[in-house]
Amino acid sequence: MPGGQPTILQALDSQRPTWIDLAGVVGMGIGHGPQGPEIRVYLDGQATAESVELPDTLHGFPVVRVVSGAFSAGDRQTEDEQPPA
Amino acid sequence: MTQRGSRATGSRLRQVLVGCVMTAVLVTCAPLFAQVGKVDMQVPALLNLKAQGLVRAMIAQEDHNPQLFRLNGVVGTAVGVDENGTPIVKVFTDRANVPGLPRALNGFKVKSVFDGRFFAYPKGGNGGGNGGGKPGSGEPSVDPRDEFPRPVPIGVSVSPDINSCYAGTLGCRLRSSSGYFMLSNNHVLANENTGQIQPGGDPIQQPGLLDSSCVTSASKSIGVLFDFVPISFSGTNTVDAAIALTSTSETGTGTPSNGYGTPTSSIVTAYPGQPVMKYGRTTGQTYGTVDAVNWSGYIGYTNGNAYFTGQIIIRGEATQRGKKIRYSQFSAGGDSGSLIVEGTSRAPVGLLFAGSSTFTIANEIGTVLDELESSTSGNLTIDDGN
Repeated sequence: MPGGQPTILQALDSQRPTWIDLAGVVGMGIGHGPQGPEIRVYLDGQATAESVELPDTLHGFPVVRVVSGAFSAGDRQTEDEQPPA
Repeated sequence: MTQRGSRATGSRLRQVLVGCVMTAVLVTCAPLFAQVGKVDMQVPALLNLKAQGLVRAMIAQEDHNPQLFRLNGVVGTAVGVDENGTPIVKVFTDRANVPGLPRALNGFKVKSVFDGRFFAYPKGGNGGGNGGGKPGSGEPSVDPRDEFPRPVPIGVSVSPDINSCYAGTLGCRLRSSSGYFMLSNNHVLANENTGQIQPGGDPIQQPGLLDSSCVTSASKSIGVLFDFVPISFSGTNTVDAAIALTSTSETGTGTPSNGYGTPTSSIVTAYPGQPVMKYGRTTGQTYGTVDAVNWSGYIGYTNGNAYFTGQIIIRGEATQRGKKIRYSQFSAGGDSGSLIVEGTSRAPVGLLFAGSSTFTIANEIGTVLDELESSTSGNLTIDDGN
């Protein structure tokens, strides 16, 4: 949107490469909160909402920190990951 | 999407329909639909007196449900008749002698029913969601890790027949002009880019090796690895997907009997707040909500971290009486490859492939089909059996 307010996707896309390199950040996406669309930044289990330096808003869109833990494709179950009986 | 707003109304109407069936009144229930929910509704004159009593009992039940469900131990309510055929309100409890239950509601006798078999939804968690047939029905339990008669249902244990013992989930059956395929993840069917595709593709067996004591068996084969989208550990990924060639006699289109059934052939795009569900090898049927879309981030694999964009992130939840009661596990190890469908329409939304302790990550199903179409002569669709 030349000259106009960026969309939430454009706003997030502009920061993805920078934010993903921040210690504790494991991902980010677009959610919907009480005030409307918001940017959600997912943090690993070591991080806290306060420990990662992120703005509270980006181009007017709320930036919400979510402690999710790290993600893995370990949902393929192996011999070592047998669930409890 | 348009069905979300009608959920409460639908619940109400279902109760009316059940009531109509219960009384075996040979009149149409249609005139009731517009009026249910009004405390002072006029009962259609064409119903006989017994039916009128049941409808009034249902109104009493509906009006008092909020208060009843606030009582510790109340797990459900219904309308029935006593030994004399008089309408009553039944209150189901998970314990004996729940304090605070009224003796009557709007003049209808209240009967407490202590019935520990009454569940709103299957439990999530490791193996918890596959906990058997319909409660109290006497049906044999269903475990997606078991071997199933052919054609096998979707949502059950599969793996390649290779020298690596693990198991994932058969997502669904696909079809194109060139044949039928089963869908799952690259890291399930192709063992993270190492699978052998046709000709001489790796056999895919059901149940997967982990659920077969790590013993390979040609008799358990239901297909052969046909193609996979390579996972890049240096670039950007959008899907973790693979397909195996199968047939209608080897792979079916619906879940086992304790699952949601058959997904629709038409797919939908995920949106934040969308209710979703899945049926998978480890946790069976679970429910959740799309937390965010256009998710990007790193996913850990055996061979390293891979960067993904355009993903769906889901938070699991346990619901009771149609209301979210707490966050819950949506997936666990072994659920990889599960098809995620919209909670109300059963329209496919995503392909489950990763997760953390509290969230699940899925590929957009439209992107999955687009990425795989080039190898299947195009027009790859979810097969609903029709």
